[in-house]
Amino acid sequence: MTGQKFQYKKMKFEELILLAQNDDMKALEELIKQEQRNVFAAFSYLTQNKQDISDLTQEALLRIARNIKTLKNPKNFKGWANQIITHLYYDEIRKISRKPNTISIDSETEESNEFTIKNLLPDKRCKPQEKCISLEIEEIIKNEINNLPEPFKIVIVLRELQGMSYDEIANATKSSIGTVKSRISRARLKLQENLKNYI
Amino acid sequence: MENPNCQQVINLLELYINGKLSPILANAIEFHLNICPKCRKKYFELKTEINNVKDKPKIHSNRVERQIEHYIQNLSAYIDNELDDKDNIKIRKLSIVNTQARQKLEDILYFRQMLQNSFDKTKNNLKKDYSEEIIHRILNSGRKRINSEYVSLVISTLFLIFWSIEILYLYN
Ligand SMILES: [Zn+2]
Repeated sequence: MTGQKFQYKKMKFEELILLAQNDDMKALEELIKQEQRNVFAAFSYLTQNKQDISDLTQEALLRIARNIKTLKNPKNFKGWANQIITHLYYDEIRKISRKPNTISIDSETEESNEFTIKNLLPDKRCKPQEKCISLEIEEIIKNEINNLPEPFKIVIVLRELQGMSYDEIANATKSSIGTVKSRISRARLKLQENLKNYI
Repeated sequence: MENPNCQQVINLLELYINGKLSPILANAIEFHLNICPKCRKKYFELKTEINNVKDKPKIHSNRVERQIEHYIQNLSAYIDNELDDKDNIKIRKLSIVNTQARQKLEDILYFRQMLQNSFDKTKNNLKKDYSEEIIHRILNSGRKRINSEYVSLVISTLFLIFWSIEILYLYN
């Protein structure tokens, strides 16, 4: 049993996909295990409520698992999974805009922006290539991305965090490549400006 | 100053060329330049000199400004490898020759690295393992689907039987 699990762990992601597409539930389980961190992280930058992040992550993973057979080319997994993430996210925005009494994003932001300079200082000495980013910086970056106006938030997550091509992003967001290009550029300039005191 | 002498004209030439004299004085200078070849020569010399000093950097800085503007607009797509060859070369060239442009490139690459690091950190913040639950839900819903398919098959069969009985009954 443990020997078998070890085998799945050692497999290439594409091999897991192919097995999962042929009803190998152990392969599907390992696939979900490997993908869940990525889905969770994506939603962490798209929404701020912890419960929403968890619900959306679970729903996206469920859709991935349930629809894995519809993925034609295993090489397209990332783009395909991100389409599921994007659709779920759009549904969530629609839900929130219908619910008038959700917790105000502004109040949460103010709270989380209360970081003291003392906490941030050690990181200023870090070199860019070293992955020595503090929890505070991560929170600040997450907040800044979360607070981007809508068309910019999803493109920055799909590009910077998920590494999708402009073509894939255009597909997922149902817009033109030119629009995607200018949105990413503007979102980056805005984020750079907002984060320049921290990074 | 009704009739300025040569020295006065020469002293006022720079202001005259830059259009900073009052109309009356400018007229007096213009009149003098028309009748005095010596001052006229000085005037053309100074005018060429001023134009060279002034216009050249203006044209130059305009061109650089436009280049930087184009650079800023395309830098984001450049680091994503999403530019066509022509724009790609333009951006690469300016990154080499222009320090301001190079700084912008370094900034955006550093910024991208920070986002990447932040994302990696967030990934590792996941404490829950969803995989088992997902598989469980899939297996369960699969069973439910089989159950519901079975139930609807039974219902339609029963319906068909009743219907045939009814037809038989009617025809008898
Ligand atoms: Zn004269």
